[in-house]
Amino acid sequence: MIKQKAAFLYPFAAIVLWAGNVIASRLSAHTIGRRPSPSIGCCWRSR
Amino acid sequence: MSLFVARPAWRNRAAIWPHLGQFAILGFLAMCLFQSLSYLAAETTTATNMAVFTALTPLLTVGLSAVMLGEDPTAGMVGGALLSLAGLIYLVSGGDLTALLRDGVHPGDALMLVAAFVYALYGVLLKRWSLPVAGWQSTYMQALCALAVMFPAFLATPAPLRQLNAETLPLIAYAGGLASVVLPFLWIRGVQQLGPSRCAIFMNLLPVLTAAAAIVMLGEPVRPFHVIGGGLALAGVICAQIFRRPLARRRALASE
Repeated sequence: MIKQKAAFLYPFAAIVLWAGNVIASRLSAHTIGRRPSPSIGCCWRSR
Repeated sequence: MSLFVARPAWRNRAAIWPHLGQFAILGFLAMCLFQSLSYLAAETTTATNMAVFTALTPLLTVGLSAVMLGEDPTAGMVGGALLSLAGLIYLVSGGDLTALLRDGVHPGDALMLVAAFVYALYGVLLKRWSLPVAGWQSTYMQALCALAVMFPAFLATPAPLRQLNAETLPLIAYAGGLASVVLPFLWIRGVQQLGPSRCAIFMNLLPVLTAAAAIVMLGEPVRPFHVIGGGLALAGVICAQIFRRPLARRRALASE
């Protein structure tokens, strides 16, 4: 039972890293110089 | 990884070699195609939208598992996925469900939809093939195959877009280390122990965690729709863990 519960930590930890990857990809879009279109920023702010 | 995995992998080459093609396909799907689509999408959509489209993967996985593995989806999986999806849509719309239609669809959203399908396929193939190779060695072989594809692509990228400096190196380290090595390893272990469908349900947490990270990093305030949408997504995950009876058996019992 404990082993079964521990198994759920693997996908959970993976998702935490995945969220970081999404943020990193957005940061890279800025860093590399291809900034997202202004309309995206407007949508993000409006939400 | 080569420092501590290359030697064991070489000793295990007799088991690895027959499955090289499968490692290549898995590496291409998860480490090349999914990552490339995600980074392309990041140029034209928001982090939250990216996470929401990625969170469609459980639904796609359940569908693909039913088709490719003959797996019976459980009531919790189907109900939980739908409940989570409803929460995610509410979260993204900011409490206004018409906002999604009003704001339109960005090219990045379409790319992320393809990426979600790619990752669902990866999870199902991983389960279907059940390769007889240990977790780290499996990840290593996939990474090597992905490297063979991505390195020429890196060289072909115009110099201004592949600068190595203080701004890009931390992002590359994260993408190349945590996101491309540790993440797949954890995911593979999860899929091996829980199965692709149950494991993929965790994907519903991604938008919640991503939104939380965006709140912290971008200073976004916590609003009621964050709590309601995120709460529904979490409820879906819990639902999937509690209700494990296959739908097929329920239908069979109902027909008796």
